[in-house]
Parts: sequence; structure tokens; C-alpha cells
Amino acid sequence: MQVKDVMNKEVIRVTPATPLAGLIELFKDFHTFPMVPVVDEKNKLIGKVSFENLVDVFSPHTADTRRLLRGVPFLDIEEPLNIFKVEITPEMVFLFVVDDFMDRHVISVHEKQQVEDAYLLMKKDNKDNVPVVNGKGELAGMVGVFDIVLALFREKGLLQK
Amino acid sequence: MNVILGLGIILLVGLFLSRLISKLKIPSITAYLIAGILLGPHVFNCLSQDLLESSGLISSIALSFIAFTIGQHFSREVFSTIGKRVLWISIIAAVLPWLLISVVFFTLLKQPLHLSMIFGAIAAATAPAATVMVVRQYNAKGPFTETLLGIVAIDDAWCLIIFAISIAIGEGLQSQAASSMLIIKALMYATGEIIGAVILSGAIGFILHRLARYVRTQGELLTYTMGLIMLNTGLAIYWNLSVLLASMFLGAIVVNINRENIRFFNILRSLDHPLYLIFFVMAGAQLQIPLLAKFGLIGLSYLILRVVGKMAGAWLGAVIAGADKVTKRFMGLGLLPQAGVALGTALVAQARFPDIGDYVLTTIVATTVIYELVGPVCTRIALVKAGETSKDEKEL
Repeated sequence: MQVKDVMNKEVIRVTPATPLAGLIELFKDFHTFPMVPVVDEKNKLIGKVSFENLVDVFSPHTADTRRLLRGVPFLDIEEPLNIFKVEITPEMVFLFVVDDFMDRHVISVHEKQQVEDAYLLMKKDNKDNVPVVNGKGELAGMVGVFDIVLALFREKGLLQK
Repeated sequence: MNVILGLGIILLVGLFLSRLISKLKIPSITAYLIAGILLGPHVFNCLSQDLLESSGLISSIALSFIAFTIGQHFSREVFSTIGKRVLWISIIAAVLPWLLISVVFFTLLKQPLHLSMIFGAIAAATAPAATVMVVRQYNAKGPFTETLLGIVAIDDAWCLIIFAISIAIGEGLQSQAASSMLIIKALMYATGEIIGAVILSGAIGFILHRLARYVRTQGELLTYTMGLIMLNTGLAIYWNLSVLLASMFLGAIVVNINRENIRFFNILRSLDHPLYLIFFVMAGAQLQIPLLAKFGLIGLSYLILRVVGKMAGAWLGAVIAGADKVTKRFMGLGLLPQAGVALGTALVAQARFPDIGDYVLTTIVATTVIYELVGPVCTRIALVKAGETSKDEKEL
């Protein structure tokens, strides 16, 4: 069984130019903020936004500085940023765009990869779901542990196909 | 007291002392060093000899992880991110203190060349954690703050390179019989150490990337990453190559092979806090209090020359990069804290040069405590002068 057989093809995606307001509007009624793939104008997967990246909105520093600081040792031993004390203004929801806080290190699987391999990769990287790309690096869908479990249930006859 | 009991005490005393001291707006590293000094042989003597003797092993492992982590800064992404200003100021503010201290210690203070160069190289390091702490405390934001954070994020990488060159030259000087060709032979020895480290880390980095497909769980990924970093470090020690550069190059190579390799750096983060806490407390425990008075002139000279070197280097870098007046005048002041990488490199020097090791480590531990107390105040002044702190701080 390949990933393309179990993945979701209807995926909500954003671009680096999507404003924070648009992103919140898309997901405000969800139970939890999902991992959102970021694509360029040719639908090529270039990053992701997760709730951890959303917290970066409270950081007073630029995306470049935050990226630089990510690789610095000893930073975790100091008090973390207190998001309850950060000054933010309402207009920032329009000023921030996805490019300011997206994560460019995104782990993806290929649509022709075996489902078992994709499952192991998610386990290795502690991910519940990952974007799926085709041979051109374009976003083809999303696959999660739940999709794989459902597919297994169907295969074993626990669910109707 | 047995080793495990000692480690338990280190973790708990370090943790709670840092929480207590954070109320005074002092960096946690200072708390860990003070915890180490208090627990160490010259105050309460709570740590067994076995544990103190194993500190070299703990430090070497921690340092190889630190250097590996710093190596991820040499990615294409980071180099496309850092601006001309950050690059120039960080390089010159690292190189100038190295040259200044090396020359003054060797010529005026009549110290051995290898000792002078090691002190100079250690002076290049700063303290990103302390700088970030001050920036957060005073809610600083603006172009000066961004430049300052960019510099402290990458200048420890320059420190490791300078230190590796200094230590390789120092070893070269010691291994060669005195002759007119001494310096040339020492430089050739240093070049061999560095090229060897590049070749070794390149090979290990390739293996790390290729065999990762056989790793199946988060636990295995941590084991695998630690295993290959230690293999790289162990082989570098075995072949007498530059250990810090080998670890740093490994990080640089891995991050550039594939963007997904960031997983190797992320997984190590789960070990960071306890490992670094033990590392700093053990460094504090090795402070030779009786030696402090004896090294007063060297310590004082190091303190002053590092300040002069950092201020002048930051100014010169800002001039070359065409930075604004505020950056030229105050950036050096923001770079004064000194902490983790300085202590780490001092511990390496202690292990590699037993004749001068205690001398270097005691000076660096003592000056780190001073810099970690005074440095954040200077950083705060720089941020206030740049007009980038919150309103209630601007009246300074």
C-alpha cells in the first residue's frame, strides 16, 4: 500500500504571503491548530506552520534573528519568553504574514512511498501527520497516523471499504 | 560521597539556586558556577574525588554536543540570512581580542606563546543566553537589538575556529624541538590537525546521513545521534585532531546534506538542560581558590584587554560594514558577557595542556563570574543608549 492510497488530497494550504489574520480565520473553529503546509506559487512545498510557530508571533525579533538563535546552545537554560507579558497590538494580526514565522525545515513523505515506511518516519520524528509530495516536490496531500490506522482497519475488515 | 549522589546534588542545587538567583536578574550560568564553587573542594567539599576526576569526561561529551549544535550555523540558510553588519562585526569583534591579548600577554606580560594565544582565543566567546535574557527582561526591540542577537548567535562559532587554530599551533610549538623553523612547523602541524578534522567529520557526516534510514524511533534517533557524535569525537582524540572543529564540522556537514537532518539537532535538545547544568557546575567546582590571588595580574589584564578588544573590534566591524553611529559606539558594550563556550574551551585547554590548564581554567571561571555579573548590566546600557528598551527603562 502506498501513501497516495491513504492520504487526504483535500488539504488546506497557505502561502508565505498569507496574513496571520487569514490563517486564524481558517482554523479558529478547529479543535486544535493543525500542521499547515506552506507552498509557493507553483504549489511546491516550502515549509510548515504549527502551533509552536504561532507562538513566535509573540517574539519581538525578526524571523531571521529567531532562525539564527534556534541553533544557539544554552538558550534553554534561561527563562523562556513570557507570552503573557508581551506587548502586541491588534494591527499586528494584519502585519504578520506566514513568512515571518513559518518553519522552513519540513519533513515530508513521497506519495509513492510505502505506508509502513511513512508510519515509521512519523514515529521517528514524533509527528502525527506529514505533508505528501509528488516527484516535482509539489504538495500532493497530507497523511497522518489516523489515516494509516483507518486504512489498516479497512484492510482487516473492521471498517467497510 | 558516591558519584551518583554527587550528580543528584549537582542537578538539584544547580536548578534551585538558578531559580533563586534569577530573581536578581542574574544569568543562570552564574548560579551554576556559584553552585559548583560552593559544592567544590574549597568550600563545602560535597563532591567526591571520583566525580571531580570524571569531570573531564562529562565536559568532553558536553563540548562535543555544543560544538555539533553550533555547526548548524554553517548552513546555506543561515549564510543567506545574516547580513553584512552581523558578519563583519562578529568576525572582527572575535579576532581583535584574540590578537590583542595574544600580543600583550606574550610581549608585555612575558607569558608563553601558546598560553597567550589560548587566552586570546577564549576572549572571542560571548554569552548568547545572557544577552537574550537581558533583551527579554527589558523588552528590547529594534535594529540594534537584532544586530546584537545575530552577532552573539554566531560569534561562538568564530571562537571555536580561532581556539582550534590556537590550540593546534600551541601543540605544534610543544611537539617540535626549538629551531628557526619552529613557527612554520607549528603552522604545518596545525593545518594537518584542522584538515584531518574536516576529512574525519565529512566521512562521519556522510555515514550519519546514510544510515539514518535504519533508525526507527525517537529513542533510537537520540542513541544514534549521540553515538556518531561520540565516535567522531573519540576518533578525533585518537588521531590527535582538532576535537572541537571535528564536532563543529560534523554539525555543518550534516545540516547541509539535507534540510531534514535538522532532526539530529532537535533530538539532542532533550539532553541540553541537565547536561549543560552538570557541565557548568563541574566547571565551577574546579575553581582553584588558592590560585586566585596568585593570578591577579593575568586575570585583571584578561578582563581589561577583552573589554578593549571587544569594544574596538565591534567599532571597526561597524565602520567596515557602514553601520550607523549608535552601532559603532555601543555594540561592543553589548558583547561583554562571557559564559558557556569560554568555559568549555578553557576545559579543553586544561585537558590538552596540563602545565597551564589550572591556570587558564581558574582565570576563566573567575572572570566568567565577573563578566556574567557586569556584562548583562553593560548589555542593558547598550540597549538603553540605542533607545530600544521599553519606555520605563529609557531614563537610564
